[in-house]
Amino acid sequence: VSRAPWILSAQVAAGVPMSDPALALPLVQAAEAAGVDLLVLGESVAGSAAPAFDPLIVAAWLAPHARGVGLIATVSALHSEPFHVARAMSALDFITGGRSGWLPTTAGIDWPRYGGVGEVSAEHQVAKALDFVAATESLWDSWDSDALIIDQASGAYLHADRVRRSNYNGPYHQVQGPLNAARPPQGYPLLLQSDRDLTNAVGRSDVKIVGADAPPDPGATRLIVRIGVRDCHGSTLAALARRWESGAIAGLHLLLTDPLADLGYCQTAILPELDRLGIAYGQGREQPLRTRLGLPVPRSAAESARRGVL
Amino acid sequence: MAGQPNKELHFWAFLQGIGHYPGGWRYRGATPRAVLDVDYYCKVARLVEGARFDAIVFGDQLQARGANGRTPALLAMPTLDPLTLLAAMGSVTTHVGLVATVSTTYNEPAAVADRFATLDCLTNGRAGWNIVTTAHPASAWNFGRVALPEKSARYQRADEFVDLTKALWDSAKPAGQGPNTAIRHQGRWFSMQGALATPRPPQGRPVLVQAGQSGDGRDFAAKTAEAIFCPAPTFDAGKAFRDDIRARMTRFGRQPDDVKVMPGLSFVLADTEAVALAKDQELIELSSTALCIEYLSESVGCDLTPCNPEGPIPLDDILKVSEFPPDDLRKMLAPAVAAGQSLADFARIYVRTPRGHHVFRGTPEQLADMMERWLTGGACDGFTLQPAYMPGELEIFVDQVVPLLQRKGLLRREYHAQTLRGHLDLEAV
Repeated sequence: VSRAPWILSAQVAAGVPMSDPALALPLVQAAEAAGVDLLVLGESVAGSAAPAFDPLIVAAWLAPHARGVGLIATVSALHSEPFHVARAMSALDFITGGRSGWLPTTAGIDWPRYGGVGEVSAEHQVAKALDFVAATESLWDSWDSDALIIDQASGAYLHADRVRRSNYNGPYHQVQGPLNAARPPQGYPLLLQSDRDLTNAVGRSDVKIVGADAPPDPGATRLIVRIGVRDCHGSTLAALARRWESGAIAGLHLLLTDPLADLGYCQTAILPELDRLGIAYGQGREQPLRTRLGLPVPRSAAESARRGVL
Repeated sequence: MAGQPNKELHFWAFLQGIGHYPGGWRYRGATPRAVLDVDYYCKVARLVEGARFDAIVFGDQLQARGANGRTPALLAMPTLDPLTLLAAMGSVTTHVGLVATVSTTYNEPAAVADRFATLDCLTNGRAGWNIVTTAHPASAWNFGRVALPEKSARYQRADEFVDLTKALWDSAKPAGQGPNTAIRHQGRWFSMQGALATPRPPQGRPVLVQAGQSGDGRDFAAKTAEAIFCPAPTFDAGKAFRDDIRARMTRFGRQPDDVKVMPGLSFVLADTEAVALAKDQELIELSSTALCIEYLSESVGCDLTPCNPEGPIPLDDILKVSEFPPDDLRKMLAPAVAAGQSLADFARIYVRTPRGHHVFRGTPEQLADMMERWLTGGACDGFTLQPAYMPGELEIFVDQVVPLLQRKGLLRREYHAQTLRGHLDLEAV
């Protein structure tokens, strides 16, 4: 059994007013103190409301204050442009030192707000969401990880042949590229998914949020189990710890309904229980998320091919 | 209507990239790797705030640098997303404004309204929106479109887009006063029904900024903008532009003082004029001929790197390949072609005046005097500073020019207001 590094994830519900700096700053500090690895901004449950803030802006604003906690933005997979999201996530991954992630979701859809007149079938929503993710990834792949040279003496800034058009042509999105931003330090920012999202059955992710009784999922590299903060103690927590030890799950996903109080409880009640259970948390917090979680850094196909023949 | 003189200069720091000079990233005072790190942005934001500038502004493009799919090897290209960088800079500062360039052609009003409202809320009223309609043909291909809409259509869309975002901001309620009122809109470009995601932004609306140069652009600016970023290579050009905008504003029923005209200004400073000119020469020489040709390739929309640098300018080939308006290309290149200038010679001269902005070379005292002359002569309300390279030249400006201007009473020593609207002496919305 290969045990994955322990992950503690916490999700800020859509209705929490994260555009208020008087809440956002203490919240990220509380998340740091509570040993949170992933702070998810916005919801990812089909039918839930759109966030009362723009998650990508909030994540960027938090970045200088989040020196250990990873910042995960929920992103509408139905109302977003791949070019804008690829670019914003590239910047976020740079300014967090590789501690960023995204959770593309079909939650929070609001068709009339974006000019739509009717409902769109679940099947189309899923197809569009998957197309959105693939188009966004194709833009990150327009840059190889070793494209930049930045040699002031010689004047060589980059390898022109390591940046290329994506020419992505999907059913909903067509994107030529290349992106006007370098490949994110993590290759792709960490990709999260929720089993309550419409894309659940078909998506692929780095980390998947699942229910307590979820079966193993070959499409997700790491499973984290959704649990209420106040339920996270005693025999329930001990049982989850055993599942982590067996390699079945990678950690927990806490739903924050009263964020500051919940994170305070996490720090004072849950962390000591983890200590007693012998679970090492909060390791390597200065590292990129993929490094911390033991996940590979994706490369473009072109870079893999080039390195393969070197 | 002629421009009235102002009391104080307004300053914006234009921070996209590693400086205004195409080869500036190679200069010893530049830190081209640092611009991929959050600490650089925190440091520069604090520097600008310490100098009491109104705002930090980032330009933006929606296509990669280069031409015909070839990315330049010698030009710096760290164009990280401006709104992301500005949000980060806003969380380590308390007063300086944050102006992001966002296109109305490749965005939706509701998303843009939410984004700026979130930034304005998080920064207690410091957000500004530089409204652009996107002029580069390759941008369309990054958004599933075959071609860029023609200019007047882009401005019509921009008009309706801005009206809609204003309606969304205006209908939002302060935090704790219940859900926002939904607006309904049915127009030529947009139909929508919905409300702003956030509570009412502290400024009511972000400050609206514009940079259009054409007749359509100037009318849009005169009708909509609260500050204007423009090129002004000379005092006379600045004065003519400012007078024209003020006259147009009167025609739209607006008070001319409700807009600040902020021409771009690059600068190379040293203790004597001779040393400044030598430093300028050194900076120019960091642009190799190959870099100059890459830069020109981007500007004409045709990859000229395979061409013989000592050969003629291949105007016919450029016209065949480029997506840019042929008349603009002919106007730009035909005189040099007629004069028999080589590609390399033309490219080297072209790089010396990037994007038509004024470049000052001299001492801090001379620059302070020039700024005073432009301000009192009605050629500007302030400047959008575009340091030749970053962050070294901006640090020199802050250390050496800012105290001179403060002694002259031309620059505030302390902020008098909390919001960007306040720094610009604009009425609250």
